[in-house]
Amino acid sequence: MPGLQSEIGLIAEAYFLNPQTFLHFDFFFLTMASIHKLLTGTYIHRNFLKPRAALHPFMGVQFVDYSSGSLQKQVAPGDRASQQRKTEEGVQEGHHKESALDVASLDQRPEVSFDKAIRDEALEHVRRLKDGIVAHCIGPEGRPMQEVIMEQARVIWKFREKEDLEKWMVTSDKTIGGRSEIFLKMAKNNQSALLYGTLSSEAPQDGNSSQSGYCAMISRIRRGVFERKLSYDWSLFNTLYLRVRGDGRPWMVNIKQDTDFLQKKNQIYSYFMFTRGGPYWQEIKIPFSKFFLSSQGRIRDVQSPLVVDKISSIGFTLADKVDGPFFLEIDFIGVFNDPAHTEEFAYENSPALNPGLFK
Amino acid sequence: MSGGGLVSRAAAAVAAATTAVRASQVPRVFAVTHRPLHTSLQSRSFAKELFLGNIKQKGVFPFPEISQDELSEINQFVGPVERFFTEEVDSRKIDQEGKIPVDTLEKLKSLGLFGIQVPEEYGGLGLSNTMYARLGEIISLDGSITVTLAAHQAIGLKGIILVGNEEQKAKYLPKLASGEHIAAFCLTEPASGSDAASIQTRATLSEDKKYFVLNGSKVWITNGGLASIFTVFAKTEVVDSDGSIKDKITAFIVERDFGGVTNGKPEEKLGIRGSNTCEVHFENTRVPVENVLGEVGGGFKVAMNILNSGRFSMGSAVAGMLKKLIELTAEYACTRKQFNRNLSEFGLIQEKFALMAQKAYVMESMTYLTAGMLDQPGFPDCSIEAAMVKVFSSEAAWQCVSEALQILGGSGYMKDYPYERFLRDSRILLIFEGTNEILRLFIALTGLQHAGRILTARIKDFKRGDVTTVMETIGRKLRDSLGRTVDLGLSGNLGVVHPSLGDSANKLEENVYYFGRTVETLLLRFGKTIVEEQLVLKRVANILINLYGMTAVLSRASRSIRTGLPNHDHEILLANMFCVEAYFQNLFSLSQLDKFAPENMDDHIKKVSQQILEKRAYICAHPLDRTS
Repeated sequence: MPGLQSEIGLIAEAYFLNPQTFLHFDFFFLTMASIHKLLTGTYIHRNFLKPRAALHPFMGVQFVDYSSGSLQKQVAPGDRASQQRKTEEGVQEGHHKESALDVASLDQRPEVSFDKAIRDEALEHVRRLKDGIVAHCIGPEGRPMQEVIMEQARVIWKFREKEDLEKWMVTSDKTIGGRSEIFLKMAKNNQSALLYGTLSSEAPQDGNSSQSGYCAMISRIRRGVFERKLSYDWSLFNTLYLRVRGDGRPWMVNIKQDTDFLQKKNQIYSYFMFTRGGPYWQEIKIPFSKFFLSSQGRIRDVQSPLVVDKISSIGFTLADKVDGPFFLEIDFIGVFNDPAHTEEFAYENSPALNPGLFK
Repeated sequence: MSGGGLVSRAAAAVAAATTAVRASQVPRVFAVTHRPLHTSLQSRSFAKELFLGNIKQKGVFPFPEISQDELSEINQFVGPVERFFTEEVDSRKIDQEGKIPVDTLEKLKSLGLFGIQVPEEYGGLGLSNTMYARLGEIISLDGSITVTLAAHQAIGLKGIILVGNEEQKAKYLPKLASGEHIAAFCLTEPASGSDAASIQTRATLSEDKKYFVLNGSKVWITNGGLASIFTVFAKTEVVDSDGSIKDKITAFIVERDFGGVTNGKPEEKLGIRGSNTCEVHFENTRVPVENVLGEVGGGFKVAMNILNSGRFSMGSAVAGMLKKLIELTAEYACTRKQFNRNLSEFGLIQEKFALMAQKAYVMESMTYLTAGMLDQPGFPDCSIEAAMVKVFSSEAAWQCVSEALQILGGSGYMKDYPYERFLRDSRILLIFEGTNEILRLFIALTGLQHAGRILTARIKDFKRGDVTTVMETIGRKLRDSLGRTVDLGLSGNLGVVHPSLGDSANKLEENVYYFGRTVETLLLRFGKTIVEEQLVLKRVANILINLYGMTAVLSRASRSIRTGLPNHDHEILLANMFCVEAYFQNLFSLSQLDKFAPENMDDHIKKVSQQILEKRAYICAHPLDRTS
């Protein structure tokens, strides 16, 4: 069900069996069967869910859950959310209430007119189509070619207003029955996003799992006209640039390519981000050449460089096996071109592992 | 006058040694390559292979490693020594008083630093070359102590370790290793500096043939006033196989107690003022025949062996000093404010740090690569490599210290700060242990001799007009001129160099290939007279030093990436930066070696200097002069 891809928890779990070398890790991608699963987490999806097969002539019947419209609907049953809250500790509850995403105001009753909703949606797409055509005439993504070519750095995601949070989703091992929690909200002064929660490596009591303990924040896939997937083209840049303030925990940064190959849909490129404790912001620069390839949570024997011309999403996973609260403040996530970085790919393939490559 | 003549006649040149030119001693240095010590078949050294346009990967790729045991052993030594040097050694006082305090010397002795390379059975630490280099990094925090210790063990007692017999070792080494006796190396004389073969000190065998009587003066002897054991080189009469009597150099172990040994007062020097340098006179000193080091008449080889084996350690010493200097100057640059900005924000200051880091990185890589080669079993011949490390590190030291002083501005020039001492101390590095000029000639000629030996046949054919050889050469020239990609197996799939350094590896390969071609051309062009072409030899040596540096950094950086050492990205940057710079320097030098290239200004240089030296003055008219 490719249409549900935006709901795929990219990285559901990462076990660092050997946290010092990070050589051994293991994480699963969980495809969540429905939106409701996600809602058992902390992110309340506030967009209107509706079948849009009719609006999607090219892709057949599929469900798309993204809408940039301002319609809000309290999809999750209120009692469910409150039940969850009761289990939380008092401190976190306070935070929780601040979280803009969790507070679904009761006075905003969703409209029930399907006709109007469909009409609005159609108009929205026409508008987007128009914008797209106009933008295309100007240049890539609506900016003059010269500006794009001369660009040295670009901020891809920043956190300055509540709407910026909509581009993200958070997930944790709760979805598989674990006890970790993760929340995302705007920090004070609306100058950054605050990602916080508690990590718990207590395994789910499902009689099957033996390990658990992850929290993740994943960017939503951009959608264009007629819910067409949009990707990011970062081929003019070679380094990921983050400005964060952390608590000393290591995070894993995951980049997912936009691909139509089913075989590749579970492939992600990962690298690590070591945060520093303390009051100071840190600027993290990770060259794309450092990202290594893993598939279904296992590092691939055959490594190949990350090609950044079609990037669908980025994610941050915490799974350092240290139980307790965590905290990560993100100012922005961008890319830039470091002319002094000439490395194309940091890893080599080994003839011992892949004799086929060296024939 | 074929190129092969260079080889066969090099020996003749040694024997003749009639040319008054200073360089004439260099062919004599050739003899060094046939070290008498070798018991096993020696492998051809890496540097010599470069002269043929080959890269010999064995021993160089991958970068030599030491075992975990050795590493923890050396780290055990490093800790206390480092603490001692940072906390107890007062370099400023040593410099001002021109003397290392007695208690400092005692502490050095108790740390075992007087016998680092003396085998354990004789009471030394018995460290390998690699570990010696590692300790040298720390000792170098004080120039005077470095020189004192180096004169003691890198040259002073080295002869006993290298060529001494069992009795000599058992008799002298234990006391030398403990520091009870200090050693000195007496080669230089008033009339004999670089030209070691021209010494005047004479040892005559007594009538009962039990001892030699030693007479003569040695100058600039480090530790001359402290030492009780001297390795002295003197002329002795040796009866040749054909019955004629010749003067040949012999090495002796001389104890101060033999009598007749006096020394002058310590010299006032520019730098390393705490080391004891003075004249040593021998007046009818009676040296027993048992104290002859090596064979009678074989002293020159002994001297060259000692000097060649000790040189590489200068690399790590300078690297240690530079690392310290980078720390000190970085601290200054990050706190000193001008124009409302820290110095560290200015590009021209940043550039200097990059330069210092790069030089330190390259010399560190070269040193440990050479040390690793020397530590391989057998007696690897690394005299060229060691000489290259010495030349590179001494020049880099001078350049970097000068740049560091530039960062510091006025403070660098003041005696209140340690920086000017660094500058004074580092100037000697270019001069002693063989001046860099002599070493460049040594590097170039030793390599060319090797290449000549291999290429003789080819060149003979070419001279004779052998059609196949001529066509082959022309064909290759044609191919080269059309631009070919050189692949010597460093980069690419399964290459020994990591792909992140692939471009640099290709540059090295290209340089090596064309260097090989150029060497061939040079031999063809000059034949044996290349010995006299010092400007050419200098360039050959410069290229070779760059090639060796490139190899060392590529090998080391590849290891760092593959083993995942911290900050290996920084190493990649430094390695790539050095390789690009060296590549273009090499291209320029290679074109200067071309006879008709516009870059080749040799004839101009020679003419200018001739005109000056004829008049012994600067001969241009003053710009204010008028004709009327």
